[in-house]
Amino acid sequence: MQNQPSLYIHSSKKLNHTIIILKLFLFMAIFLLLDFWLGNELKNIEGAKDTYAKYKWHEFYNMPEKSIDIVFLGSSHAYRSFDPFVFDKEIGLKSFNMGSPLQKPVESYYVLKETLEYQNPKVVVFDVYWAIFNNEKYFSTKIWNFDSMKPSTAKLGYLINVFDTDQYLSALFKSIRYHENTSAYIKLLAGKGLTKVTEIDYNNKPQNYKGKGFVIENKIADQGDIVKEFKGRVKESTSQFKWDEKQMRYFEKIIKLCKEKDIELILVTAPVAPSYFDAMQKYKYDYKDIHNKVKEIALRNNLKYIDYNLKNSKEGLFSDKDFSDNNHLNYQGAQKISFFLAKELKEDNLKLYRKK
Amino acid sequence: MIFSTIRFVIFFSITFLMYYTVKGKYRWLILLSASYFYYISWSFKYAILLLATTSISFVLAKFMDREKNSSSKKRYLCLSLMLNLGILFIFKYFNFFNDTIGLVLTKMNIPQIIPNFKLLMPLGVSFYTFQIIGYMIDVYRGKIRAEKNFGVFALFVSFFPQIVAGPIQRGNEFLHQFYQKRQMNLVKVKEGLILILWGLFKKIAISDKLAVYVNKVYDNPYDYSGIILIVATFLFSIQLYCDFSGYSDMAIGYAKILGFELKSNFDRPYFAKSIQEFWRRWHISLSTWFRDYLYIPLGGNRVSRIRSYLNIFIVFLLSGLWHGANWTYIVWGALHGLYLIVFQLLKKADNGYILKKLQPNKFQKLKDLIHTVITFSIVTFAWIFFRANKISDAIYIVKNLFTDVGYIFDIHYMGKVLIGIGLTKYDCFLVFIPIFILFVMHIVQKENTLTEFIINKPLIIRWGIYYLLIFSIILLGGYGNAESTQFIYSQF
Repeated sequence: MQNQPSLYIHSSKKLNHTIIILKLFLFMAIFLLLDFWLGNELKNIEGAKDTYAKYKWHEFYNMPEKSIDIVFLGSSHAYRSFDPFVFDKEIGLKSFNMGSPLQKPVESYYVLKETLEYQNPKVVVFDVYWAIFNNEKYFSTKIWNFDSMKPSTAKLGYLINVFDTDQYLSALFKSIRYHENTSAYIKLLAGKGLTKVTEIDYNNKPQNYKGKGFVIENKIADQGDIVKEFKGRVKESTSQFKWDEKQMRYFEKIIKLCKEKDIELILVTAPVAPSYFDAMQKYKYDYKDIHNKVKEIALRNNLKYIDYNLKNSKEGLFSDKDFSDNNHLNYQGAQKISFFLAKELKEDNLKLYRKK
Repeated sequence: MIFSTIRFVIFFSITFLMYYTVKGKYRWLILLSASYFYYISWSFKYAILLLATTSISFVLAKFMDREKNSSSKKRYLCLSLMLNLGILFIFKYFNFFNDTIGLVLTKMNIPQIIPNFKLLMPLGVSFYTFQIIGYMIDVYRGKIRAEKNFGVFALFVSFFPQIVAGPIQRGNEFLHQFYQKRQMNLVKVKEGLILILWGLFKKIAISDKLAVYVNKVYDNPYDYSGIILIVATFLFSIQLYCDFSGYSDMAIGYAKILGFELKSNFDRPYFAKSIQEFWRRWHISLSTWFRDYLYIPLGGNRVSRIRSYLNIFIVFLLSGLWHGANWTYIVWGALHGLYLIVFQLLKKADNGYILKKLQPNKFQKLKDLIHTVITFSIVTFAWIFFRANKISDAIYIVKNLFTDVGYIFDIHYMGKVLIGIGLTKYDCFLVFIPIFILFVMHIVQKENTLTEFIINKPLIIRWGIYYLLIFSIILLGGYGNAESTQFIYSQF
């Protein structure tokens, strides 16, 4: 009887705490529902900003499990260069291109992790384009993968490690991310704005999305535009390219992950336009340093490395007409490199063939 | 790490957890560590300067407190004033005065030999030096005893919720709070969160949004004239109030969650019915500081009329200078000094005649409204100088304010004017809805504080207000824009 008052106070406190926690959960739940609804309303005003990424991921998740043999990773240099349809035809196996705009090694790592949840490729071709080994904080390109990935530990890792701290809220909450569409949304409600966009509609997908993650660009670059960056330069001087430490760390993690999963990792550098390459070597970077850096990593890890910039310098595989701008292959160029690389992989008697 | 970033929220959450986890007598240590961590995250070397200033002031205060002899006490006080004002002068004013002297010398064909310093201004230096000076003067006056615990004194100076931009605290009101035993008080936590939410709403949904339009005009004033300058100045008056009071609300809110009560800094200043009342409501911690530590020592209004007017003018001139090392701030301060002198003269001149006329009658509300509008107008006019990048810009703006004022009731013309600064009719919704919410809440605050008003409401209404504020911040806020995220007063 003497203990009852303190017991009563104790359980009363416990009940209060429970009520507070329940209230907090309910508040958050309502907030998340409102954010979900508002976020989607605002997002669907995006209109012409529809992205290849959602079609790519949608296609990927609908592939039969463990049916992909070759996966391509990397930036636009990957998804505009390596045509899976060519590889499928030449090698006789299934490939898929998981490249995305400005995909840095940290993103490639988590994209690969997610890929390996559903597929067990024998080969991963990783396009090593030095220019993405920096710490620039673009948000929109990171979000295209993040939005389309299914909830998973890879997606959580992507959130924590790919985005900066200040970008977390925008990544998680669509109402924050698309808040700039509020004015357009009000216009829409007033009957005067953009029309809404539906989610996946293959009848209205971006025209240059061919499929399996590959994107076509038919444009042929204007000669003047290719070297526009160096216009007026007279004095030849170059500087050493600075490799971002975080991206290099994730490059090594990709190598380690492939080793752990017994995947053959092949490093490739897709070419830039020959005129741009020549000018770059005079006025921007000492390319030998860049090449040697990647070569050193490849040698240390016993990996094949094909640098199409140097190959092109020796063998003249590509001309400026194979490019849509100073550093992206157009469709014609992509067919060429896909054919060359597919042939090389076939001739190299890849692991996948040995297993077959 | 500004208040409205996720980094600060993470930092605060960790501090909060550690603070309430450790034993009471070590909690000040957690706060001191957090405060210095916060300061070091901005600059390590200026954290050393902060520590040095704090240490010297602590020692001087102790010596001063022990002295019985008033001239010895005065010596210590003078030393402390020289130290703190010296630091302020070197980092904030040296280049300004050097440039001004340089201009004069150039006109006299004399070369200027002293170069400017290339020094970054220490974060919060204007605020923490004034806080230390106030404390030293209080010790000198015998109002408080010198703090014995160096760690607690260091925390008083560096307390992270208020070091960047105040509110400036008094030793007798704040120091003892570090010794109080406290349990986590859920009511205080709730009140703190409400204040933080309200502060974020003012900062992000209003101030940051308006900054885009104000900066467009004030950074290129010669591209504009007439009503557009009036609109930009009006928007700036709202922007500045929301930026600064939003910061203060967040500072008070964060401190409240930790169990501390900070001085209030704003009391609906744009509802003031006179310039004198305005200064009782705007940046209260600074205006009372100037009153107690400068105006009253100069004699206040206990001297001749002319001398008291001079005192007012000096105080406001220095208040202007405190805000920034630029002639625009000095002119702004001088304007307010003149306003107050004119107000005093008018009050004196009518001998209470107008006051008798103003006794409550059926037109009282209309009179109050007229006085409020006049006060707001003259305050907004002075903000031109506060915001302008240089004196010549301010003069241009003043000269060109009324070039097309005849069109102010022409809706089509006004529409074109607003589009001129990027405000479509849909954007106007995004700008004026939060301002309307602010106005409504200020009407509410006449009878209750914001937290009292909200906390006493039923759950559905409370949550409705929270969601309204949160989604106003999210949907209407001007974030993602680097120039608009910096708090204006953190530059002082």
